[in-house]
Amino acid sequence: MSAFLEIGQLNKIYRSQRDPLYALKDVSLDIEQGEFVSIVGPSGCGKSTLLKCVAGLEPISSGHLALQGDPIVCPPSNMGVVFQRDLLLDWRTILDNVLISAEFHNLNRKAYEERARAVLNLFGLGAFADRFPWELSGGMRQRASICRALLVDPQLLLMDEPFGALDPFTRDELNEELQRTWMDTGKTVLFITHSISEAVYLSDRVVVMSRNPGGVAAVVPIELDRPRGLAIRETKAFADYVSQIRGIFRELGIYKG
Amino acid sequence: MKGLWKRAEDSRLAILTMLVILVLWEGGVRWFAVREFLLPAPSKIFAEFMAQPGFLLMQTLDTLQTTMAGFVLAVVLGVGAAIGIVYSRFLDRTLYSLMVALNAVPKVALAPLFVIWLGTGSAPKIAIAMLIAIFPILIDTVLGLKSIDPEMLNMARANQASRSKVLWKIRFPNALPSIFAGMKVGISFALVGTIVGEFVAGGSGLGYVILVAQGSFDTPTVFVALALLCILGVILFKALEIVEEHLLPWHASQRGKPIVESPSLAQQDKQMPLLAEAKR
Repeated sequence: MSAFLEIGQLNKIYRSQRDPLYALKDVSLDIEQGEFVSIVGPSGCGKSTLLKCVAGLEPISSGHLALQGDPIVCPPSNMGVVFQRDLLLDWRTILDNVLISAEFHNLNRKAYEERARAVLNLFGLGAFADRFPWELSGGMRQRASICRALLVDPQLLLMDEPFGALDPFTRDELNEELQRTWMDTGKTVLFITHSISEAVYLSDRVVVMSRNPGGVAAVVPIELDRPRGLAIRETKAFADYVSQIRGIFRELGIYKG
Repeated sequence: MKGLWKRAEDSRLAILTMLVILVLWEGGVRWFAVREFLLPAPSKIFAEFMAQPGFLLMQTLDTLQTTMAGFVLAVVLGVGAAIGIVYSRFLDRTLYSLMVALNAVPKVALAPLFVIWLGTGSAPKIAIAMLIAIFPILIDTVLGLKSIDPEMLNMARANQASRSKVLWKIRFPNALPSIFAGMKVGISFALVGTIVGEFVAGGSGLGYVILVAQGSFDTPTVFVALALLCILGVILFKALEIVEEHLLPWHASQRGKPIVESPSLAQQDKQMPLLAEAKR
């Protein structure tokens, strides 16, 4: 039985004037259905490129990449993506922004309206359904973009540093909400972040990436009980995981000293 | 939308300025006893209008019709061509280059040609109005359609969006502010084109009134026609602004104060690809 998402010996090469540039080299990773996997790494390690490949937005140069056994050559239909920026459309209300994913998927808008309101309620945006994006704060906007990705109930959720631009308070809040949603729905999540503690807090496994060329340096399983409260970050077990991952980065020469 | 009363309040200063100029003009002409065929006083111009209001309003209406026909044609053809240019590399290389080259020709100089081709009815006037108005509309629409955040396109692709959905649900609404900017320039250009057409093709319209009046040194009538043209131009421009306000309440230039204290990082980022595209 093959894994839900298979990445095998994946290479992504950019042709340049001199030597070919490896953005990703020999990346192998299997993700099981319902797993929450985070990828952490410094800027330029190719983690966003990896996510774009998995999303079918960037072609791979060589290797194996399959979702439920089907090779990914274009964006799969049972996938939702949350981008770094919220990418809400200014001329649509929050509700219409969420419903655009149904429109794009050629689904009946009317049939999804109730679900859209339910998802917005789940993220505390019920009262803002008829507001415009520019009337909302950054955190609320990113919440709306998560609702958009969840609307058509995809099995695979890809998240590309979705909370990177938010303040720490909003970030904590959204981390909790994301964990709750993930536990309630059993989606498979591939989550990209700069923050080691965010990765440890959310994940079943943390994938540590190195740069030049981008590749998987280590995979750290996180065996902490769920649901995890924010206070878990003050425990010894949590701190050990964080320092273990920081240690890997130090060995890779990404941290000096 | 601002209420009619608020709108009137906004334009109070403009009206006051106009009144001061008219008073100075009237006083100056009387004080220095300027001869009427050189510069008639505003009161004389108004009297001239009152002498044959029906005829002058008919000619204004005629000019308005020609301008609107030329403008609407320019919008339809300009926006249509822009969509083709943005979606087809071939059209980008051929049609767009041709249009840019054609834009360098003083289009007024083409007016006599249109009379040869299309006769002296309203067709050549509409054609000239359209030809002059189409460039700003086409160029601004192309720019607007091209200046889309590439991540926005990725978001659409990740959601299985078809090309036509990307166009109508993302690219086109995103380009609307640019399209309106082009149309605002275009509507004034269409009026210029119409007058040029009326000069050359004759028959009717305010341009023709000016031409005939000038032939008989009837300067007051020339000024009446000019005044009517001014009013027409302002009304057309304002009408377009009102349509824009209704259609684009979401645009940054139209919206009220947002709830958030400061613009989010995301919004600032959004401007960058726009700039990059514009520079290309």
